[in-house]
Amino acid sequence: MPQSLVKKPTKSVITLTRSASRYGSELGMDRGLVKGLLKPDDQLNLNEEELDEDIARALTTKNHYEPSYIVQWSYAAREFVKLPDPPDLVTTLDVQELVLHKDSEEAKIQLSGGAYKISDDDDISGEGEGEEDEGEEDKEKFDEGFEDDREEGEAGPDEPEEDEGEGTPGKPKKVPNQFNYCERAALTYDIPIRDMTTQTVPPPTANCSGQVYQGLIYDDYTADYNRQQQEKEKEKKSSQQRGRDDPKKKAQEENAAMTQRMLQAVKTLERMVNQNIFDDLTQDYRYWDDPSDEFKEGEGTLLPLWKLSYEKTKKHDVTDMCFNGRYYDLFAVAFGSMSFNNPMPYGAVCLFTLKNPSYPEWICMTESPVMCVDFNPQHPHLIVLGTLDGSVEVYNVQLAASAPQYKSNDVTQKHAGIVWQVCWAPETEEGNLTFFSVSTDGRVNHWVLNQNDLGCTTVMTLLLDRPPIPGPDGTQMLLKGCGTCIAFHPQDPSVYLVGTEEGTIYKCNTAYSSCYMSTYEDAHDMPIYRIAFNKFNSDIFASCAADWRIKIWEDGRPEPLFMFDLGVPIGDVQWAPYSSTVLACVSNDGKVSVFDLNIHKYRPICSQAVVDRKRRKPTRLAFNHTLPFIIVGDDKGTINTMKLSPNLRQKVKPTKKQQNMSHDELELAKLEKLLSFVREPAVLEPPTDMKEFLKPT
Amino acid sequence: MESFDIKMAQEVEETMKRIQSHRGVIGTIVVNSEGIPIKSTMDNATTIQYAGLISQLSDKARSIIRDLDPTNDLTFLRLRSKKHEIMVAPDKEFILIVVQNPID
Repeated sequence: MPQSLVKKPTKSVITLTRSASRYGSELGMDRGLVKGLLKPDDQLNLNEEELDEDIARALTTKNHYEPSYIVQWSYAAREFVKLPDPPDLVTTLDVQELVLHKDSEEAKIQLSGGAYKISDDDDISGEGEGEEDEGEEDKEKFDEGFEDDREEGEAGPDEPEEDEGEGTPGKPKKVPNQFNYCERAALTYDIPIRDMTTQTVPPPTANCSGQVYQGLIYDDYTADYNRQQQEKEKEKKSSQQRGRDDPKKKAQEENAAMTQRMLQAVKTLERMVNQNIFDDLTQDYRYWDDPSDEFKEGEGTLLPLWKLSYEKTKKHDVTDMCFNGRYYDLFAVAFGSMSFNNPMPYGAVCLFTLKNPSYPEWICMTESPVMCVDFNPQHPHLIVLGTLDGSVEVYNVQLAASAPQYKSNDVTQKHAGIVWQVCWAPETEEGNLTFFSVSTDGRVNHWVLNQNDLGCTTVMTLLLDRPPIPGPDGTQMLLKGCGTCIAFHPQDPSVYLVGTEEGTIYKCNTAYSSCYMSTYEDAHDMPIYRIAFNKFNSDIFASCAADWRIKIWEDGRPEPLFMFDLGVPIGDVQWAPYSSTVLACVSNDGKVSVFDLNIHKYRPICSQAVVDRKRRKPTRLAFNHTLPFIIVGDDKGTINTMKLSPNLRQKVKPTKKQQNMSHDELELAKLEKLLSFVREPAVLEPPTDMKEFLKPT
Repeated sequence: MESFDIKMAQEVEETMKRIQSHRGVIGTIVVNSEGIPIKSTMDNATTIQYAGLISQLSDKARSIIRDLDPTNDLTFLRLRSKKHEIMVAPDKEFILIVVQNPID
């Protein structure tokens, strides 16, 4: 093995450190502190010569690292067994060479040329070349001379090429070189890159700008929320209904909604216009109190406000009026006919509000004159009306008044005479609404609003306590009283009073249809027009009749407590809602009389002509529940609004003892005190200590 | 349903007529959502003037109300002047204007 000389490695290390230190000083890091070399402490110190000294290393055939005595535990022999020594040969490099020795057989064959071709052609000339190339190659191999590169390139681009120039030109034998191949590259034509541009029409642009207000954002959120809710609902309903959101229908609905809003707006505008026109009246209605009342002891006045009427009912009589329970200034007016010889061909119910005194809020024209009307207290949108021809109808005032919601059957159900009063009653156990009606045919009917129709039961036939009269063909006919008014007991909804044309008041119970609870025989001498219960004490009621009299009764007492004779027929009497002792009546001479029993027991505290006595006569009257005014209807279809002066609505001043009593209790106490003066004991009873003397001995 | 709509539209017409017949009413104008007067009882120039100015004013008034409280909305507007009272019912699809002389 050849020997080689290797320099001591320490030398190179030193050179490196030197250069490093030079590098450091160049950077200005050498500040005189570190001079010389940084050496590890244990480094051997050598001088220049020693450093330059060559150290010889010899390669020997002996492998010093070879383990010499290798043993292995043998389980079979149960002892250590010596293993054979590993071979000395170490292969460090194994390269297969392609150089041939000149004297070798193979070289000789190559040099001679001929026979070689057959044996090793494939190996040398083309590894990846196809068959077709072979022929050419062969030809080339046998060609004399060394062809030009280019010539050959033209002839066959894929052909391997000789470019080494090793071959000996001019020699007869050509040595095929096994490295005889070359790479050939061909340059194709460059595809020239060209830029092509076209100009299009610029897309249309528009400037958008807008301002966003808080309100718009809120609106959008609300709309989005609503849409989400709708989608949720749709998902629920999707299985049931499809194709409902027809765009045409939707547009129509939107249009309808707009019309609805427009109607609302127009109505409000009309109210505004009216408010401007009747500004003084509106102010009086709310704020004016007659200051002269302070100086008039026990007397009051009525301040006339609006006169309401409707063009088409100017010839009708106002037959009934009823305030709405929810909207205090809304009331229904029944337009009918009191002249029964030639009644009006049609009737009407109008809803007026004082916010618009020029025109009714809701108009319902009926085929027959309307004689009575009543708002449902629990459902203020429902009104019931009774007509001259004996039918009863229920309307929903939220809807257009084209057709009644319920109407009594014209053949089987309707009354045989004028329906004089209708009155809502408490609901049935099933939740159906009910009402009562009283008519001149002597029957009191109880109507139930079923799903689709009215159910009717006669709860009372007002039979007179007279012997039957002989009818045609020898039959006997029972005489019936003609009911004209009905009043339900405020506390006990099963008890009611019926007044008749004969002047009798019957106290009845809805539970018994065959007998009266009690009878006020000859309560009046002529038809009774109204019975009204006191608003505070439900044992007290008033009645008025065509016999010029108003009578105030106590339940269970056959004789009236009070009696007022006005000298003219009295159309209506009503108790005031604010006081237990105030009642008002309208009489045929055009006057409204207001009584306060607490102030005067015998004469009215106010008697004022409200309509022209010659041409009109008032027919009905109603107290407002909230504000101190009354409405009076007359026989020319006009409703007069009148404000009560302070003296007509005096409140009880509580004494020191009564400080903690409520208004209702005070009113009750006031009435009770008053009645105690008037009441006569039914039977005179001697004092107890007198009984001793009176005992028969 | 449709007849009900027609009836409602008729009622609007009738009410408009009634308003016009009320004491002191000088004119009524209906303006559509684009600010164009579509119905008026006043002369052309006045109508256009009213329509233009009032729609601007009601827009402004609405934005004031909405800015103060986004849940609120403008429903009506009454302008009292020495000579007239202008009553405006602004809606998103129309504006109704009534001009009245309240002291008659």
